Amino acid sequence: MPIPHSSDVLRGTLDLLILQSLAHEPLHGWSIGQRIQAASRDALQVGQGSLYPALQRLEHRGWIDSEWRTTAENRRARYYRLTASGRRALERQITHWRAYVEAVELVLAVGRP
Amino acid sequence: MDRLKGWMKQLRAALRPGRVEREMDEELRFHVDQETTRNVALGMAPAEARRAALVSFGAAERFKDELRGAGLRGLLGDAARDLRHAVRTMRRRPTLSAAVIGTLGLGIGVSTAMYSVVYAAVLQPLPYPHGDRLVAVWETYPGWRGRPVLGDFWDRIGLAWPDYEQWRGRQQSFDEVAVFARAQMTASGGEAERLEVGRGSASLWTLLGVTPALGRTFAEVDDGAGAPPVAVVSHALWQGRFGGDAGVIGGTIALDDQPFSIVGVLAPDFRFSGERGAPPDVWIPVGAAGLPLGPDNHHFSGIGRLRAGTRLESAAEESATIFRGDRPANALGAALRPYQEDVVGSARPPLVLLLAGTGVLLLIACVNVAALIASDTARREREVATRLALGASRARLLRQFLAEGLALALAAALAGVATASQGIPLLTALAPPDLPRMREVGVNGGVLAFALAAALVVTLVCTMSAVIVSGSRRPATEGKAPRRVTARGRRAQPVFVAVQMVLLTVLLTAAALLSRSLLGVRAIDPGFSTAHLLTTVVDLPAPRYEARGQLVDYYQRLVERVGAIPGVEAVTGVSTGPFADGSESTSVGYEGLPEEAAKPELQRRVVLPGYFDVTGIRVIEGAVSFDGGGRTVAVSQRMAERLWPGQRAVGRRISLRDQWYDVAAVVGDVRDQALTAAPEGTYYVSLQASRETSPRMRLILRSPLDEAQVASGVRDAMRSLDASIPVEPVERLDALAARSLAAERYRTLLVDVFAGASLVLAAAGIFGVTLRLVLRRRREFGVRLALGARPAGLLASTIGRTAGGAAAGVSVGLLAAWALMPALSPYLHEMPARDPTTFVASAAALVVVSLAAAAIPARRAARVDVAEILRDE
Repeated sequence: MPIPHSSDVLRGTLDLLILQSLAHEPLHGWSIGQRIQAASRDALQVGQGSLYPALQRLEHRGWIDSEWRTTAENRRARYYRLTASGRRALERQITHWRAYVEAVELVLAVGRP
Repeated sequence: MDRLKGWMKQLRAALRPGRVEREMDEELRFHVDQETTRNVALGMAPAEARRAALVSFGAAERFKDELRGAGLRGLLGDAARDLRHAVRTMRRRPTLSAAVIGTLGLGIGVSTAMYSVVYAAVLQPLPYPHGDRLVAVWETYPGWRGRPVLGDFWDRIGLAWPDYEQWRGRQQSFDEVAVFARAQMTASGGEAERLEVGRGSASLWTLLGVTPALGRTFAEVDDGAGAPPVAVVSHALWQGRFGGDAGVIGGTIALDDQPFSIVGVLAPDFRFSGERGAPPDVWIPVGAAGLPLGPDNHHFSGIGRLRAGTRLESAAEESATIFRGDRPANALGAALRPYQEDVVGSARPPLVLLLAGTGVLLLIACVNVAALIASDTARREREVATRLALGASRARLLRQFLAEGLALALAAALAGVATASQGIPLLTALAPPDLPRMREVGVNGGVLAFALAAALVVTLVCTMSAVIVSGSRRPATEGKAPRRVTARGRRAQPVFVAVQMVLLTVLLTAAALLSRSLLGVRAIDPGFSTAHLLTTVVDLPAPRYEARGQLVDYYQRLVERVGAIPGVEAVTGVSTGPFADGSESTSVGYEGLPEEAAKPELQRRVVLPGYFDVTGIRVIEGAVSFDGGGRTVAVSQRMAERLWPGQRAVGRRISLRDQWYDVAAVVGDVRDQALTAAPEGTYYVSLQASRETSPRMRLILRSPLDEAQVASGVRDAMRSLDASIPVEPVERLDALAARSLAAERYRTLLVDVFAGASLVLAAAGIFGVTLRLVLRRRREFGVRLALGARPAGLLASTIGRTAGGAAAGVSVGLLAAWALMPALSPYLHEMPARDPTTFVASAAALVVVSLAAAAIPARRAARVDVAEILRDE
């Protein structure tokens, strides 16, 4: 069942999604949004209004770092990269998320065949 | 580690806001460009692609704000940016900002200065330990109550030394009690100088907690009769006469020809008993140098510090019992008043009235500022609507307007502090000499804080009201905002005018009443002439001039020598001169006085020859014949009527100290104590020809020269006769007359200044508000004109609104004045507090001013160029 059109990312999961999309390579803000959308098969769309404040928040927390680089099209863009403590945070959050989903599933399973 | 890095980033961002802002812009621009590129790749036309990117990007303003609002930088950066924005806004509207700052500055400054003066004079705690428990103690003679002259003093009679000793020994209500008295003595040895002398009991110094700058004060051994002649000098005298020489301790100072050895120097800020006027130059023991301390010498002021928890009433009862001794209960009593109240006395009510005037001024300033800022609401609401539409958060806007209000209030505060610190010296310099504690005035922190707070509240409420009002409105209705504002402004203008007028009517009426009263007082004929008359005081030290012959001889020769000064046309003298010397009364017996009746108390004047000629006092009946040597007196008309009503006074006799004198002449009444006081019955005796004497005489000189030109001649004449007599300054008699009105003039001046300042503020306010109203309605006026309205009609409708507001305000104001003005009665001389002429004139003046202030901008309404308006559309 497809998730209804362009649902906003659940509050609290945006940090997890951003950290995850940065797990393999540094990205700039726009492509982080694209990456999340593509990976979720267009189910999740990150509004720019949430993305950039979240990026700043994570950076101030020390989980990601940023630097200005040149893109393939030769434009200056700000690239975000996971830091060591960001990576640890990502592991923790994944564990949390899985535990959470599992718990919710258990609740939903009660009284169903 | 990474956490630390994050903090460093925040700190860097806070320190370099410009760079962060640029980077943020660039990052968001990059995002939109990427989105556009993707849209093109999906097959959109470039323009369409970009539009779609922008739409999907959405409310950029909002998350720029959110980005800025994050972290430490958010707080600092926002504040700085808001303040910068506020200053920019202020500079874009220089007239409005200047008007707000000027108005508030004037209001804050004048009210602070005024309150500071009143505080120092009336409210400031006394600078002594437990000053709030200090009590002035007087004896009372209930029998004097209601009697002429004496009746004024019945509850302010000094203590005699034996009373004090009894009191001090037996009282239980006070921690400590003391007595002191004031006198004038002549310091000789070196420059002869008239000094203010304080006589104080040893306990005074412990009571006041005095630590001398040098040496000691008095000890118990210095108390009572036969005390050693010691002296404690003031810091000022030490610095002046003794050049600040520390060796002054152990030296001597000669007072009235008697040597006193100096044992101490007081601290520079010790001003006891000098609260109204000059503090003593020297303090000496109460009984030093044979000064009388008998049971009949009631010349000491009592002071005590109440024990903690003791009530004033019970202390008064105890003191009365002690003073009374075994005398009957109604013969003698005690009056106790807080010392501060005793010092401030009659100065309090007028000052408190002035304070009310100050409050009105501050209120007018605030109303004005409120109106000025409100007139700018249209701009604000448009801005709010636009920015809300762009996605700015309401909190963000509130912060921005808060900053705008703060910036205005801060600038106004600076202007206010500057005005206050300039104004206070001016106020104290102009203050009449008897206003207490004027040397202690400083900017009062409390009231400054109050005025600043008032200013802050007004500006903040007004600037932020735009956001609050628009909070209820959705951004989509933005287009309608200006019209609504106009409608509101149109309704608000007459209300504003009315409020101003209520306050102004009260203030202006008060100012007009006081001014008219002062003019009336100035026009009073004192009964003698002051033109071309100069005056100075000569006071002969008692011991050397005790013999009557010497005294008469001295004055005879002095008159000759002063009369010989080139430019001096005539010289005379009087024991108690006009306007400066107060009252000098004795009880007088007379022919026809019933045996058992009390002798009336009448004013005595001992005069030198030519007194009536020089001063121009009219001789009504008989002839003044002092020079003949007979025992004769001249009496004033009022005295003649009082002693022998309806009968001829000339030829009658009065007795002074058991010596009979023939009444040789009746002379005109004079107001020589104060212009506002009714003339008292007065008799005149000749120094030479009577047995009456006076060591002190006020010389009166007629000369076309000014005082400075004559002064050196007078000094030389006095030096040549006896160099040990101090030379007092020569003054113009009309200057003395003017000084006697100093309190009235000061009061009137201050109220006039308030009224004037308020009138200017109000006129400026009405002008500003009307102008903005007209400017905002230009379009409407243009359309009306295009549709055939007559310019005169538009003018009339604009002014009519103001006139309505003014009329309503003035009416309410007149009612308020009707209720309030009787409070001014004590300060109005021979004028009703509800003088109809003054009321009508003030009201008319206000209506005219408000209409004029509205008419000037309203003329613009009539001159709107239709073509120009339509082009603007």
